[in-house]
Amino acid sequence: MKKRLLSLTLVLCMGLSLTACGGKRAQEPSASEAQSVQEATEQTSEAAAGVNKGPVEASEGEQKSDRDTLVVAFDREPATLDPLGNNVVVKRMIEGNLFDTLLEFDTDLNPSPCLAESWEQVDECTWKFHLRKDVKFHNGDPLTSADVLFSFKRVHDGTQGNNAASQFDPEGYETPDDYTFILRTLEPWAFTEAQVCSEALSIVPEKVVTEMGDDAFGRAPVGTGAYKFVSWTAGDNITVERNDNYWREPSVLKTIKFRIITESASRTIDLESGGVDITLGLPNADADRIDENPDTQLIISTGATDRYIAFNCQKEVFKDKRVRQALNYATDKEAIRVVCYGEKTSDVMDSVVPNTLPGHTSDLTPYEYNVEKAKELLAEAGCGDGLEVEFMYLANSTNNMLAELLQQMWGEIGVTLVLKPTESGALTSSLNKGEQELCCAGTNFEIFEAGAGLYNMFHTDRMYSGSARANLSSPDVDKVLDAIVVTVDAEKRAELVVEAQKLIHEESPFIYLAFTKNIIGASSKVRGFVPVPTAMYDFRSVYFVE
Amino acid sequence: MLKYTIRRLLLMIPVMLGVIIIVFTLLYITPGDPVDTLLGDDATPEMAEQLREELGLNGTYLERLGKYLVNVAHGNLGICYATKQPVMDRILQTFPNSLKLAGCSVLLAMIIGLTFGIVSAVKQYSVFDNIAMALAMVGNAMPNFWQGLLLMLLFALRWKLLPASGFDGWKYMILPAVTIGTSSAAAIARMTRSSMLEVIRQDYIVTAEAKGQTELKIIIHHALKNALIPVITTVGIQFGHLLGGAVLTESIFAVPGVGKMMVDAIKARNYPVVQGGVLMVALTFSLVNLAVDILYAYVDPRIRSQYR
Repeated sequence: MKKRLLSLTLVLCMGLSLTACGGKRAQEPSASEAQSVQEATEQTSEAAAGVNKGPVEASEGEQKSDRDTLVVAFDREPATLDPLGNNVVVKRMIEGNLFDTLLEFDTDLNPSPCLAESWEQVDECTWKFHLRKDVKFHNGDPLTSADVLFSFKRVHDGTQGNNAASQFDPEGYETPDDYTFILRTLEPWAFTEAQVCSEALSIVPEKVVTEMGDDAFGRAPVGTGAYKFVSWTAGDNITVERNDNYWREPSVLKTIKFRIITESASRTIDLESGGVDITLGLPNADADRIDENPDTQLIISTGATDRYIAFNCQKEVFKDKRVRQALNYATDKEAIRVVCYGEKTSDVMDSVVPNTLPGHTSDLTPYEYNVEKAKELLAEAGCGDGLEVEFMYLANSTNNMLAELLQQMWGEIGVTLVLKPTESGALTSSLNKGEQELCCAGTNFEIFEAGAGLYNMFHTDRMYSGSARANLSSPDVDKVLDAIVVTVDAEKRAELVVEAQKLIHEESPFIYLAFTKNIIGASSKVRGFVPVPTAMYDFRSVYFVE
Repeated sequence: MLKYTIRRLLLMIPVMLGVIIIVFTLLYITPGDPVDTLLGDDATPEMAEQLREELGLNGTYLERLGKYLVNVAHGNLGICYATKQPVMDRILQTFPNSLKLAGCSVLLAMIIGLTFGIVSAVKQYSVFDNIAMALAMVGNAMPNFWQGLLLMLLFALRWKLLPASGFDGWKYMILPAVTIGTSSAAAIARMTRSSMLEVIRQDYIVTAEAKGQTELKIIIHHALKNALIPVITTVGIQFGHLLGGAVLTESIFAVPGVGKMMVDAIKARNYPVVQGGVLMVALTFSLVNLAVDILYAYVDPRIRSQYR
């Protein structure tokens, strides 16, 4: 008996000491505890560092380190590094370091010269680009207009989800000489310059791609970019090396290793333990921890991403605008933003166009949280006796919280929310078929043109496609959107964009939740990282300090 | 013995056929469309239709199953939808990593499990026995993902002794191997203990003691040899499980193994990779089982006499 008691005590002691060893770190929040973390975020004062941190430069007295390998962690392995593939943000970001485009966005999101040193609009459908003469591909071949022509033409033939050239005339390209490239749009199109900035239209070497074939090229790409491809270990990492013959200032660091770590908790721990120098897509719940840790720094930049709840306007229950407006009034958007998206990692969403883009307006009258008004509108629409709607969403901790909050809020006006958490593959298919009544979604304004984004989200032609989760079909909205896409004058276009926002707001296809920011975690030794709103990070200026 | 082995190998064919049909059917009825994931948000319906045609997703259930079976019979596991590489290449890239990890974990589990099991049996009801069996229970009950994160927090973050994730050398193998080895070690320890306890009560052990042999010799030569059969079964099953079942651990520690490849493929509805992966795991599992059965014959002459 004595022996048994002794062993029991010993086991207990071991257990306790294990727990104690865990200390503060071992008690870091699990996904289910995320809510309390979010609440803690709410209480954190604005004084907490990390609000829109800009580029972090070395301060006086800091010694530059001779470390020359940067390790960047991200969540999803790209299928290919061929620009011909689909638009996954991280894939495009890596491609941005291997390839260049004719034009590129500057920090204010205006198109600026890149491989094309100048360009002009010849007539309303024709654009002429003058190429730089000092650009070489990684294999030493010079860049010519033939490569540009090849790069654009292959996008027309591809079936890999790259739709970037859909507005260009496949027969309209011309190369009058080695350094001039002419493109024609099928009809007057306002977004030509922005589209040409897209990584989806990166310039590839014709000779290499033809010799290797698309699939092999996508696994070992050759471009003109600041880094050369070195290796790709499936499921583990993609390694690139400085291009010493780059036509611009070459990178400070010699090597970048992009590591694929699918688990977000592991990514954060790897950053804290020094295995990774920069972590992209840091979860909201980890932001404070990274900010407070002296070994790491939190970098937040404004992005161009909307978070919203979309009513499927083609479903009987939501065909009546008043029902959509009623549910909009019944939602406490600020509470959801703070709890689900974090106070300092998101902004109030006051329109469907992100506040970083030209044409955004803050003049819309918001659907304030007003339960009485919501009840009135529901009664007017003939749903005063209550309503049952199904909410389909991607099952993750943020969305689970969102669903529970909505269920509670809408319960107050007699609306029963049936929750349908769904796995990502099944969700996309259902949404593309328009099977949902209600879903939550996020839209990243890819070419940073408000008008292009609005067209994809709300034009009748785009119903049941990837960005149009509300499947809105309104002749008035269509009319303005049609006008936007042909208005080349930026100022006039901005006015039309404001008009479109007003009409869309009135239709209430969305409940605006938040503009989310890009959250990046970095080692405290990293300097020179520029957190651009496009999330297409250029690592050339990054270096380490001791 | 050879006849037995050949018969067992032939019996694996219907098993594999069953696995293929079940996995194919499950994937067929699972909601979701690989085309949606492959093309992303910007695809037009025409693009989607063209790709569906290219991937052969428009056929009926029987057409597609028949085609797949014919391909597998020719040794062709198909092409990965995402990377366009042959599925066999993808398996050959990832399988060695899973094999290394499983090998390390089983080795670790055997060393710990056997030692603890033997000592616990010999010193039954001692303090050591109680602690060891309590630890074995904890080891068996602890969820892998939780234990993995805990180890990462302690060894990578707090003490900075080992890397948190990745697969770039032996140092990277320690944490994942310990994580998945723990529950196997626990199972092996418990099995060794109970099996040893049964054996050491046998008359021939008393005889050996009466002959004045040392305790060590009795344990190793007389007891352990006879207690090994159930232990080998346990080790075999654990090894089979670890080869394809270390899915969570591979994800947490970012080990590019078969388990992680399959999970990513399921998310993307990359059917050929899922099917190929499951087939590979099933095949390995069956082979390990066969190896275990053959091993019995070497350990126990009574069983050898039955294998004719």
